[in-house]
Amino acid sequence: MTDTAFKGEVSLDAWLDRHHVKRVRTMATDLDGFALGKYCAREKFTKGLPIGHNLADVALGSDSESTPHLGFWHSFRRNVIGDIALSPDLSTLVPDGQDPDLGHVICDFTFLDGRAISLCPRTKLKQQVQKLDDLGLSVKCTFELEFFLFDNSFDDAERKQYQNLSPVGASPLQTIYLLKDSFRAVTFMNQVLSRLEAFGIPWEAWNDENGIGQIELNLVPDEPVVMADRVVRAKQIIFETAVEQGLSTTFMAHPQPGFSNGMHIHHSLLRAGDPQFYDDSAPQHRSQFLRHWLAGLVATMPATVSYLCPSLNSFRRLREFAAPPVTATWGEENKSTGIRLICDAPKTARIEHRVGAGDLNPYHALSVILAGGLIGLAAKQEPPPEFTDLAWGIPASVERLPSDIMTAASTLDACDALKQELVAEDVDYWIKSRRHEWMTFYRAGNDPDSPVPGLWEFQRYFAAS
Amino acid sequence: MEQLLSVETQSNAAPMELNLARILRASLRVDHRRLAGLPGTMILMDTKTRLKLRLVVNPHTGITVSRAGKKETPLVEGLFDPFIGAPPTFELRGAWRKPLLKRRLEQLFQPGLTPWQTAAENFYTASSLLDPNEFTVESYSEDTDTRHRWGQGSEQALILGSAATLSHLYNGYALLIDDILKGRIQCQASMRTIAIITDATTDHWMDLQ
Repeated sequence: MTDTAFKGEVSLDAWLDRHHVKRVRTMATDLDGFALGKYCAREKFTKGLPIGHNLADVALGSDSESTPHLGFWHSFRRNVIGDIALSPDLSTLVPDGQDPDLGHVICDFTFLDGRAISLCPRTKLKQQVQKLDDLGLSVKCTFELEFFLFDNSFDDAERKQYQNLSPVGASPLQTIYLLKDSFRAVTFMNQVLSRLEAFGIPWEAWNDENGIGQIELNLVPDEPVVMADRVVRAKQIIFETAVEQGLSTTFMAHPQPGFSNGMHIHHSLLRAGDPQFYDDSAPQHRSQFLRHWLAGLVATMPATVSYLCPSLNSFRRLREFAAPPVTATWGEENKSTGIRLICDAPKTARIEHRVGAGDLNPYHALSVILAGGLIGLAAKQEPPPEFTDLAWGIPASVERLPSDIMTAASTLDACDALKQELVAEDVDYWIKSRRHEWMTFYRAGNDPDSPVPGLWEFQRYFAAS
Repeated sequence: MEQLLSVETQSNAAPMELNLARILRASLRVDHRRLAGLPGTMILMDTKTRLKLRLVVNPHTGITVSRAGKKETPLVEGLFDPFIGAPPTFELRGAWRKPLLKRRLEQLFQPGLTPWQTAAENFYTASSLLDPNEFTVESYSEDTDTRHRWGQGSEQALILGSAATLSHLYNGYALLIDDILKGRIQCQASMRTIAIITDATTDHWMDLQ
């Protein structure tokens, strides 16, 4: 394994030597999208290849506070508590760029013999990409990362119980793109961007967002697994930079009244490099392919909300006139619908899926979006009429997206097509994990009608999301 | 008449609401006339969480359970916490002035506990998660020296507890894992078997069986 040519060097060992890597940090995301892994000595790391190192199987069978899922089951788990493996994808191995001795690699959860575990979020996305590849299709996509930046350290934020934190920004105005606010975050963002560049993560732009202390970062599009890997790494880098600078950040979907972190996802499909959404000869340039794909996305949108809004906190975001969509609708250049279509030119024609919350798991999010599109293609579905009005404050007869974690879970449960596309056992396990999250919220005595997040939500999601 | 009565909850119902709805459904299955003479709207308050619920009662169609505002005055106070592993207990405010209403409410909220062995048989037979050819589950009540055995599979589980605890479990008032973690039940089985039985108890508890 270590003797074959690797990234321009004669072997992996030669690459590790060239980059002075003495330690490797492995990373994989659990169901909730939280990054897990170990710091491994170089020898331990290389000796374990290609399968990787062991870790307890409950790493993929626990909630966001590492409480094992004791009340429901998946066949990947051992009859007692056993081990599974974190199998490195060596194509993702990079030097840290800041720590001279450290390297990073992204992994998949696998069985100890290296077989894939389909519940693993990254494996799930690879399965969807493979299905598209079998049809001769590829995907180009990107995410818009939104997060809040505070002058308080994480420790200080916790001491203050996440109340009255000081957002980074010069002005109390909730003004988007305000350069005076952006400037206050430049020192932080410059370090973030340097580290992104060291990791080989190209970025396009960042700006001050609508909330005070809120920042949006746009990454350069690429294929789905690469993009999801980049999102997970970018979130970790943003967290680490905040720790180093004595600040705090959160991707929590709704950390304060009025403002939310979303994670919009743009994507387009290609066949042999040719964009498939734009057709010069079609009405409004919308290709038949686009219509089928779009129809699948809209039809499955209510069922995908469970994955796109994974936490109890995610649902605080889905409010009328609060910017996020609340209906399974689509419209060209319409930012109030669930899907915003941009179909202005062959190369830029794309779909912006606007439902996702800032705390989503990027592998899951892309998996369910691609699954929805595949369902539409297979059934040659036609989309509902374009929604050309503002999609908020409209009559109740227009069906709303699920607005709580249990309704979203039961809507997903009722969608046989999506369950079949994403492996029914995995979807069932996810649904039960959401039920677990819901019960955990109530066990802790939380008030379901509180208009603002309670301490339980902050402790569970603020730093870890 | 009986089939027309329903107990509905709102879409974002709390566990307490679902638990209460299940109790009410069971009660109305026993006697659909239990809604007669009840106030059209009743506010209930859980003394532990202070969560208030509104029961809208229609003797012809059934009950709708929803959350009530914090400022509404409760008619009934009690411990409706669904995680205590036992049926709820409650008190009618000013009950001494309303003995008839008290009696009607007691009937309505009656947990309707089936003897634990019967409840166990019903529970295992109804569960879609448990295959009798895969599992053998033996439950034993230490205080009454009574036992129940279900299934003939190779996956064995031994569940030990008092008759009252087993009754609460199999009548849908508790989750197996809660009972184990709180020491009310001892269970010898693989983690998988415990998880699957717990999953079935959760479905039962949420009236999904």
